[in-house]
Amino acid sequence: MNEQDLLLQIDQLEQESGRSLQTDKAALLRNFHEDQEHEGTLAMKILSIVGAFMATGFFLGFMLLLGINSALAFLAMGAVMLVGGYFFCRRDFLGIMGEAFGVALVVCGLPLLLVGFAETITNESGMALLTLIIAGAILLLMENSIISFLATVTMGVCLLFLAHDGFDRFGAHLYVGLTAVLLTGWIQYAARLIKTSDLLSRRYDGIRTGLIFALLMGAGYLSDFRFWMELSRLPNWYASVALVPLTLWLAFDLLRRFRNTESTELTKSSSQWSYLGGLFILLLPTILAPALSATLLCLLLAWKAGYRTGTALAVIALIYFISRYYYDLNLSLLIKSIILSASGSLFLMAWALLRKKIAVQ
Amino acid sequence: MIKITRPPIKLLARHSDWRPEELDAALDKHVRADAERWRWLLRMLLPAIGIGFLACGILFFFAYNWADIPKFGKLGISAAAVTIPCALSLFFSFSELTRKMLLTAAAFLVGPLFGVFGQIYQTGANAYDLFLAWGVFILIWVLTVNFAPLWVLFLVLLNVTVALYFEQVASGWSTVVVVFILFVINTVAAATFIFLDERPESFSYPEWFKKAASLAAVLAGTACCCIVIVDVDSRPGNLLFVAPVLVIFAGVARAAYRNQKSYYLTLLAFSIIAIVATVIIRIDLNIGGLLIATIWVVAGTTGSTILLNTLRKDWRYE
Repeated sequence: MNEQDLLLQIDQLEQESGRSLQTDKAALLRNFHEDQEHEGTLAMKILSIVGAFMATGFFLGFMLLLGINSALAFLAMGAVMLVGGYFFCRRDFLGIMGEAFGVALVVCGLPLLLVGFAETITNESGMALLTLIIAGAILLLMENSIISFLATVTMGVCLLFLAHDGFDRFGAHLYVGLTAVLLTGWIQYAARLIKTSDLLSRRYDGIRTGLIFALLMGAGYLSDFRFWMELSRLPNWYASVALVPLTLWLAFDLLRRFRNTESTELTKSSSQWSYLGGLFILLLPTILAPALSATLLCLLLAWKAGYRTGTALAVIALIYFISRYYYDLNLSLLIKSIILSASGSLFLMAWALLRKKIAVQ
Repeated sequence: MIKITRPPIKLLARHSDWRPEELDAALDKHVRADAERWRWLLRMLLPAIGIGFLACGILFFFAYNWADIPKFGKLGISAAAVTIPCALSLFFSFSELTRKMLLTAAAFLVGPLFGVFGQIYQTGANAYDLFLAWGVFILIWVLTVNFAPLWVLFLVLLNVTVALYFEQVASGWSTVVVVFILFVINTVAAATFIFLDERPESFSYPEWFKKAASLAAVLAGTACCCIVIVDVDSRPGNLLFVAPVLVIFAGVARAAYRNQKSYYLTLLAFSIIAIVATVIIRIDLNIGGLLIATIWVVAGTTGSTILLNTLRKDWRYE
């Protein structure tokens, strides 16, 4: 998109709003050129992240071989790297070069800083809490989509650890429920969040991807059936208390939205409750498999937001969690076969029932 | 009417007095999935999950220890699992997509059919034989249906066959040979799909499929080079494998540059960074080597990002 396309689109959006908008065109154009300068493709962002982790691995090896084992040295080096990362990531500092370099510095600096604290803070929960605080500070201070994403995922990992450490298996359910609420709110109230503050607006995309990863991570933990079978048997439905109502709320919101714009059978007011009832029946088998309902919620939210990467992640995770669920389930192969065939038939029946209504119109 | 994309909405939200509800309405209208896209998702999701679950259910049924079922029954059930989706796909009232999905499910169930056959007649075949036969016997469907998920199944079977052949039969082969063969298979596949897709009035393949095949090829090529470099002292002759990989990488880089495809250049950048880092570590697995490798990876990543971003901007304005 060039500047001319942008201005045409902005004009159209202003016309559609039906009132005269007060727009700071100069700031908007400056921001547009900055974004053009800095925003790479998804593959380039992944390259930056992979490169940063590779460099961190080599650098930690270098430090170990060098024989540096002073906590103070690690602390100082980690702090210098994080501060350096902060400056390099500022768009007004070194541009795209600084930004790419800054990501590597932050990814390398955080583990060094934590190694430096390892002598003072000896328990794991303390380290997790410290990491959570540092990652939160990084998220607040640094404006870079890759760093926002990595900081959100790091905070997710720490929260999951702390939740599990404090409340055992129930903690993981709490974590999944909380992350699901956060992700749903983040996508459902996108407009309000973006307009609330510039700080949130600039970090919105990175945090959204991070929250999707955080939720899938929690779902992955809950899907580890074999692992939790070795622990005391807890009912596996706690997270579903949040996940099922959130999915139903999302569906209700969509049906309400399309009622105003669509006049098909699917969105008639009288039919809406029956569709929600049908969805609830489809969700019932997932109540004891919260990894599946969490991934399904993730898929629906990403699809709603028009976020293709999130959708692809959710689809891959869904296939994996479904396979894992049936692989690990402590049932005979015959029972598994019957459950799978019955579930498949249920979905095919739903498809047959809705086939005409969901056809191209 | 101009198609509105996400970036102008974000920019206008940031630099105007747009109210949240107005922004919400703009996102609803231009960015979020509309009713037709939701219908598309349901059209895809419901039959895919339904057919997938049903196919897996049948697969699990075969895996169950069904000693009580007579041989004829076992073979009959397995064969029916393949023929029923095939027969259903002949119904023209189904959409083309549904028919392709049914044939993909049938192709998936050919494997269990061979498994049952091998179990009953104790053919004594190796696991690679099963995967090879599975791939060979679905080849006609793969070619005629020409459906990306079916191609994925076929390519996975091909890769697994090679890996199992190496493990069970050709144990004298070095790992490099196997990884090189995987590189050749995936490169030929990716190149063919990209070439056919580029030609007008030819077949069309989804972008994710071409990218996934290319990713598999680049990962195999990178692994091949890295293994050769690590083992260079004990097997210097293996260096011969590196030359074709690098020549193909160079050719792909040139083609990607000419056709303005930044994804493939990004893959190659990752590969080169990894290969050079392996060379550095191989030369000096010590303090100096690790420091130079760190600097190289940071510099390589930063340099690639800058270069790719510059190219992306140049291409956009062309």
